[in-house]
Amino acid sequence: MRGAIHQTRRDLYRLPGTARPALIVAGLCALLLLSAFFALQLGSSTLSIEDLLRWMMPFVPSDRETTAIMTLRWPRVAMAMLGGGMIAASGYILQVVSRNGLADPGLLGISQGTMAAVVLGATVFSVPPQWLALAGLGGGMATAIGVLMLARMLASPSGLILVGLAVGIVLSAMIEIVMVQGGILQFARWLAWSHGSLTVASATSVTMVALWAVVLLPLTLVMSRQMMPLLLGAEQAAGIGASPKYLLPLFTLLAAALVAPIVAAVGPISFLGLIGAHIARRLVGERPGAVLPVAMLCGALLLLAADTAGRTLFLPVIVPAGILVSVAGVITFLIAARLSRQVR
Amino acid sequence: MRAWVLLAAMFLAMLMLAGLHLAAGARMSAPDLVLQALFDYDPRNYQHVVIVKQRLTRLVVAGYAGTVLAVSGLLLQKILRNDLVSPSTLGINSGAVTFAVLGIFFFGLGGAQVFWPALLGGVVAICVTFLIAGLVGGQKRDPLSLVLGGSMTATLFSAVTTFVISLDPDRFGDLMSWLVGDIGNFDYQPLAFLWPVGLIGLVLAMALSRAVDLQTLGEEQAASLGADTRTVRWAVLAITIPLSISAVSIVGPIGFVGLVAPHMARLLMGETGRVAIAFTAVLGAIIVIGADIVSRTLLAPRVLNVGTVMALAGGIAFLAIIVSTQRRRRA
Amino acid sequence: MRSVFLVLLILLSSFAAVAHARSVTDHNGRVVEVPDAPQRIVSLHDWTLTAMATELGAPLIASNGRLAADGSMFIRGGRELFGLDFTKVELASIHGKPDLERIRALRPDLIVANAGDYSALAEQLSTIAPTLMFNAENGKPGFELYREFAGWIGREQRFDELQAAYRTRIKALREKLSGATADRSYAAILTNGRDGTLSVLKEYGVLTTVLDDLGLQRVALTETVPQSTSRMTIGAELIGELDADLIVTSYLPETGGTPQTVFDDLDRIASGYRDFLHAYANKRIFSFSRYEVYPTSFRGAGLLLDQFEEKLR
Repeated sequence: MRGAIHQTRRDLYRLPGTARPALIVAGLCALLLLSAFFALQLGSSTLSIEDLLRWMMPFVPSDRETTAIMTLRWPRVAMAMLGGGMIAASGYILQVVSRNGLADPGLLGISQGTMAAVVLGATVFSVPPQWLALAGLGGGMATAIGVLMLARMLASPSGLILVGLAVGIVLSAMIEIVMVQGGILQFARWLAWSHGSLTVASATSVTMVALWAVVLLPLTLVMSRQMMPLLLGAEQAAGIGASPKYLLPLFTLLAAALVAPIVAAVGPISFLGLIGAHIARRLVGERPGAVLPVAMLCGALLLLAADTAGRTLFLPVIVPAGILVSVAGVITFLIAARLSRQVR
Repeated sequence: MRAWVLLAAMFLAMLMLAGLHLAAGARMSAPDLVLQALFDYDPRNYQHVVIVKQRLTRLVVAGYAGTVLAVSGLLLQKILRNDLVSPSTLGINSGAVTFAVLGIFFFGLGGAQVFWPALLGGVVAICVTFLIAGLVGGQKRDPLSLVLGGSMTATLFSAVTTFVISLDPDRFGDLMSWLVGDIGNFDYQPLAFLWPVGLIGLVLAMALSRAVDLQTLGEEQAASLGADTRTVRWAVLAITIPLSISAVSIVGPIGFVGLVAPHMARLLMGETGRVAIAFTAVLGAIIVIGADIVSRTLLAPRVLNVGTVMALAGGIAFLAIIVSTQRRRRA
Repeated sequence: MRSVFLVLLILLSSFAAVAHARSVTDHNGRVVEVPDAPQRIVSLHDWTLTAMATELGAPLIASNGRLAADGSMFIRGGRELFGLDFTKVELASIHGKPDLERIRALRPDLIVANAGDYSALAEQLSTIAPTLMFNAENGKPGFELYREFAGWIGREQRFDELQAAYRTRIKALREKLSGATADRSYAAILTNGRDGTLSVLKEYGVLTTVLDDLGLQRVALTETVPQSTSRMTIGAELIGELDADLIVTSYLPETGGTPQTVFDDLDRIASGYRDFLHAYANKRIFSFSRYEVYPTSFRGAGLLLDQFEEKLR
């Protein structure tokens, strides 16, 4: 991965034509829409394509049966797409900020900070449920700021990840102490939530996440132009007049804000940020303006595929998307890394 | 000479802490009562029973776990020349837990029997970790890539563990404290079967001490001094994995002893020689015994788990180690 | 796309406003409109809700099940007490892996779920049918919770009949066993053979209920169990505090437990207990199948009373 970062400098001078990324984005969009269609059609209740099409048409009344199934299905599908996109965007931003291709919200302690705020808020401080997401967001942001400040003392790119890892471990231990007090049942529930299942996605939680996405995703895309200098490293960035001093914390906060609502709503999805960004980089090179949208689309596609597979392939057992992403993701990642090394 | 004095002092500290461990609990026992229980045991006196059958047994297990985990951590840090590795940060613990849980769910294993699936899990996990680290770091030996590989491995395996447990948590009710790492009153029973693993491992660690010390000089240096780098590395892995698994299958994934104890040893007396191994072993025992005292007394009569206490304290220590080592590197 | 979702949401909420007969407050404090006499109940917790609904003769169409190591599915508690399996009711979901579409396909008119596992799904479940969250371990006595539940599904009458029969039995037994129960104390515990801890039980299905009703007194340590919880884990050192006239516990047959397990566990947890626990000397340590005593059911209570009648004579 360090290799990839070094490669960047070379790529900067012979940027790939803008046509390729645009084509890939278009292709991924089409693939995502197609997958979303099939994700809506598949499930433990069968649904004909005709009924689905009628449901999707505006102003055409659809039958109650379809509507009822869809009420359960669309929040999941929407959450997978939004969540996948936001987590992947967050992961990619963190990779650029830390100049390390392995950064991921889970590795920087941000997910754990969000979880700690939600768990401690609910059990110790009895925060009402509707405020938990907000509390989680506060926790995620606070952790991000704390990790950043600590890492700034170190001024090395790997420092950020190591500090994040350690902070994540401390926060997980705090959660564990609280959850273990409630016996195995409570502990098992917390374990299950801590591995991300989209079953809990509801119209309300999707709306909450969507509101964040509407504000943050465009902002992220606009800000991706500012990322290029960061890839060069602090000294060189300062050399060409960018000021990493402000950009670094700003981007880290953005990354935290992108991932916190997802963790609060469905729990953390490990590795998604890592894998999404990795695939994107292999598809379109290193230019942030191109990588970011591709990473978002890849993340959305991955999470959607994992969730759809989890709720259709192993019935009557429903496998949480978080677990499928972890297992399938690590394997994919290993294969991808192996292949790319052979190519080099 | 200084090293021996330090070792003796640390050993004395461990004995004092052990005394405190015997006296402390949900109810404090007077020192003379502890002595009486140890040397003039009366099975009809419940206080004596508590001290000997509940605290002494736990003390032994805590000492064992701390010792073997700390020595494993020291050996791993030395042969991999990486300050950040330990059985827990390499993912060995989580792999062991996953395979043990699978063994329990599918074959109804119990007690010392989980050692075998746990050992298999530990080996699989460390292979995965090395694989990921190799792919991530390429030829460059970045201390970060092993830790990241370990962290990814741990996430992967804990996902599997979680899935199995969530299917029927009621069945795993008895296992919860083991899953987060804890010392039970009769963990000494599997220990009765597994202690030879620890003993052999420690003896071999002592025997290999010089060869391992050569490794810390770097591959070329070690080779020029006539050491077979590959053999030593494999030998140390073959020792440390069963060593740490023997502790994990008894007390569960108690992390960070293996990380923190070698660092403290290094700060106090350096890391070369057999004395350093013994010193690290004693330090490891002190850490786990101390954590056990804290976990039993902090919220008494309710008990905390040693694993979570260790994770909290160890995580903070990990943070401190990172901050100090990274600063040193920059300087 | 989003506008379509929104329109649908509005449409749907108007569907949900179909007339219902009464409103019920569940254990999460939600006020839910439920049918007067539900005809298609889906239970999402086997050994509390499924067992109670079955005993009350409610029209239960599906229950959640658990996956055994060999891949088969079973209804814990319901199987042992009422011979319930998935040939008699449908499978609603596998424990811990809720499948909302499957539940919907069963077309329930009332869903009962346990608060611990399903609170996060309340909104989604409510789009399928009125959903009530039940909390079996909120510290209230078992039969009080049972009676609340009977009210939720409109079966109070059946509950009262069962309870009346139970009270008659208790009254008779109290007189018969007065020598063994009057002014005697009891401790309900769980032993953890693995890590050497004990759990003090304040409320545990019919186990504590029956002993309270028989007139036994709880040991003082029970009072320190935190409010709104039913149990507390303690170190084995405190076993001296549990020195009651009667000590009761339960075992889980699935994990290889037998009535003998408690003695093996105690030997390990607090070896030497034989010398200082009076209940041991008097042969007053009893262990019962968790399948029968954890669910709050009159069937289970009856089985338990049978055993006490024999053992305490």
